[in-house]
Amino acid sequence: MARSRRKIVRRHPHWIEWTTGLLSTALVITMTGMIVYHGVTAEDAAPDLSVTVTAQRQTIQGFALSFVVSNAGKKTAAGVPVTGRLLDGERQAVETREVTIDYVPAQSQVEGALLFSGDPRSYRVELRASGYSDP
Amino acid sequence: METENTARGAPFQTTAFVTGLGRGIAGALLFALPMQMTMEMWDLGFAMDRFRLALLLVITVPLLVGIAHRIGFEKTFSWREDVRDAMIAYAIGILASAMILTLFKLLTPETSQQDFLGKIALQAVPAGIGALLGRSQLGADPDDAEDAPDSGYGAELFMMAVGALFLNLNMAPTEEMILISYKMTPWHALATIGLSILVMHAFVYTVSFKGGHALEDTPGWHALIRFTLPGYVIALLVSVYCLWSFGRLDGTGSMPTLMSTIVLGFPGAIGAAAARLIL
Repeated sequence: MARSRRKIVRRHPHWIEWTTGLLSTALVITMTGMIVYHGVTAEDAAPDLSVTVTAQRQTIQGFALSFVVSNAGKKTAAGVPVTGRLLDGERQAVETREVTIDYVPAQSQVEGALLFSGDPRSYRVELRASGYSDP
Repeated sequence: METENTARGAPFQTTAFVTGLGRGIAGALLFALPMQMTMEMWDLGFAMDRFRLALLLVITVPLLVGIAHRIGFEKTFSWREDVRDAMIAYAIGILASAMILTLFKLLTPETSQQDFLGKIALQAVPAGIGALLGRSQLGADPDDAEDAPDSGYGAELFMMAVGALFLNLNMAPTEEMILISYKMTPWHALATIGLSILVMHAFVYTVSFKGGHALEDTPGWHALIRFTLPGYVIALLVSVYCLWSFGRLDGTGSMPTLMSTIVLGFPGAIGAAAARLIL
């Protein structure tokens, strides 16, 4: 039985085996190259975060302000608190809301929303990522 | 049907079939319980994109048929029987998942319909694979699970995909996969690639497990290029498919995507190598 279970790798296989094999080798080498390139260029990279408002709409209990956090840096940011403030004419905060985004990967975007009770359209909106930690 | 079977000299045996079903249920439990007890898998039941869930369910059908072709509840002779076996396994998977999830009070009459369907459907995929594997791995027949007739190149690659998918389904839903990739530097990723390939190759060709493959006079690098590297690429493709299915790559840039693919590709590679030995 042990004999029958052992499969033998033939020395002269069908050409398709070599084609698949060489294509795969090329893919693995390309991937390795990309990572090496990334490793060299992103030596001491840091996250670079920005927040932009994408939409605002009325909900049953107030207003939702949708946003996108973008990380332009080559390093992932973790636990990013996004703080939104509604400012009145004297730049006093009327309302402050915060939500924490678990991860904003390098060169990626994550969507989220803040919920206000006042209408963001009648105030100045200030939206920013207030920090991050290493994953 | 009966005359057909008799004509082939393999009369339909009720007891053997029932035993097969029992092994199927055992297999579904053995292979799917880790996933049924994972929180992320429950959440995916309602959070997962419906189109991606449907796609996963559809892909599972040819996958199960392919596995059934090599191993099944009974010795199969035709593709029609393979399809039948695959669908039985899928049904066992669905039933077993519904049963276990109800047992854990994850499904209650208050559960919304989408959540209900999603949870069961998602769990049915690993449970269905488990049901099919249960027959081969828990079976007693000495010549079970033998892949003598068609152990061709395509079959070999297919089994690697199944092995990779199985381990990936276990791990892709967890947050740890992406967290590990965020913690890693590119150099760690490079080492992971190297180790994945090394482990894959060693599993099958050198540490001589029971189902290991003999090289005889073929040089080792032949096997590396013809089997191990395609197997690794398959593991990576399955890995990126699983991550995408579970929405782990949405909005993610190319480098983090590649890194998490490599991280998940590591267990995938081990699964692929193990599948070549076991199945």
